[in-house]
Amino acid sequence: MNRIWTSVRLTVTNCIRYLPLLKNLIARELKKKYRSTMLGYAWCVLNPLFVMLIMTAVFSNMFRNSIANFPVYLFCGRMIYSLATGGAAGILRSLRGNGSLMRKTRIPYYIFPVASFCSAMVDFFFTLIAFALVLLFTRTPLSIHVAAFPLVVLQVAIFTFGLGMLLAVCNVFIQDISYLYNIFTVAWMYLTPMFYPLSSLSEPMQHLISTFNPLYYYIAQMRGIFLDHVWPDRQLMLLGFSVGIALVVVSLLAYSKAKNTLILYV
Amino acid sequence: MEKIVVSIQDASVRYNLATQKRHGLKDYLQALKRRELLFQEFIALKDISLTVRQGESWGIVGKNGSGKSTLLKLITGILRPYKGTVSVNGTVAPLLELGAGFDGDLTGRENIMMNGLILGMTEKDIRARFDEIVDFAEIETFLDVPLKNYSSGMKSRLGFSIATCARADILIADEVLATGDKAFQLKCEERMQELLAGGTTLLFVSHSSAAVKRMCQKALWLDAGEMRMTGDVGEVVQAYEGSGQSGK
Repeated sequence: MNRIWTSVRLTVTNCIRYLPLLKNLIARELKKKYRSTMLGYAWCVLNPLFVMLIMTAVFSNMFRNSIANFPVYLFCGRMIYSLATGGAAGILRSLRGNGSLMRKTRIPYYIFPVASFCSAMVDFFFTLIAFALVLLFTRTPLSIHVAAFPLVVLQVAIFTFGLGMLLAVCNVFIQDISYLYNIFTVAWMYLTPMFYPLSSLSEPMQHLISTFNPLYYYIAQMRGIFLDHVWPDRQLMLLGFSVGIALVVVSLLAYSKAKNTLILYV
Repeated sequence: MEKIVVSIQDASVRYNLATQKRHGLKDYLQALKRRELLFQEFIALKDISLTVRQGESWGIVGKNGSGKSTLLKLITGILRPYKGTVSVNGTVAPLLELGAGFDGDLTGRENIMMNGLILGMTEKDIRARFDEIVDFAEIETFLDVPLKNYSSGMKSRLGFSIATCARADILIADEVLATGDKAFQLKCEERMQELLAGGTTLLFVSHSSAAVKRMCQKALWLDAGEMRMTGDVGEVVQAYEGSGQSGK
């Protein structure tokens, strides 16, 4: 017990000490992405907005669908999917990608996944601006239920970090993980009711997705808030938090087991 | 006697060679069976013992691949001993590669901040010593230029400048004088002498015996991961050169 306490205290003081470095690492990722472009940070908002416009055009004209307020329906799904899979992909690369720094300097390794996670969250907040614009253009009425939105974001954030961290640790030892993950995300995209309603699938398929696809938990809550004006379903929320927390715990255990030998593999 | 800042006892360090050569599927499966697919052990340092006191300057000599950089990484805390113990008292500024952690897309100014933080300086320290860092590196007019457009000499100067301005208790320098012109080498040596006079401990790796003799009081000779000799710099360097290993 005492040992755990000491290690927790040490980690916390370390975190405070490395906070300025973390801040700089996050800023670096953003700067590198947008600095040399003409439109600069406007791309943070424009990028998700254009993807959304194209997808709306494709799915509402080519496939006549019967979903009311399709742009918002789609955006709710797309936003969550991008944050989770894109964020996790960034974290996945963060340990191996900073190998040269890890071999030459002495900074705690976890700072890289954490920085990658934070910059994914910053990108997500820019996406929210695009989302706000979509809500505005579609004249979507908002209700008090929007107050629950941060809770949904929190669930997705925990899930994203846990998944990414676990993959990042595994990827140090087995590099095939990054390729497998790429394939997996394609399957995941089609198995997530992003641009189709869950009810358009067969019964067993509906059951499978709503039970085993965590992204469904989050997206369903989002749509409840913004389209159906209801509070998030309690069971979905419980599932959403549990999956995320379980992943974080497993990933931190994996990290603490791996951190002493990590350097020999990166 | 000054206090002990680095104490290494019977430390061994192992590396992962990650050999890529596999002759066909059979070899691959055999490696998998021996659990050597991802990890082939290589002992880079064997039973090293070293005691460094505050203010001392140690030169580490030896052929390429004798374990000099590994020893520095061990002291820095990047690598852990696989056997034995290492204890370090005080802050360490590692210069294992000039400009380790530099990012070509960031400007000189941003890299100074980033690199200083990586070396363990606080933001306040970095701001306070910013001018000093820039002066030594002679990059005043290029501060807002991305680092990828710097000459290699400018990058080396900046890396050295930041690490020495970190005012760490122990400065670790791996072949820092190899790049750069004579003027830069002289300037670096001067800076290191100043730090030594101020009580900094120096661990210095160089293939230039003359530089080691100028900079250091003591020396350690490594050969294939083992200690051949430690002691007064003159004797050790003489023995090393006499062995023919130094190529002279």
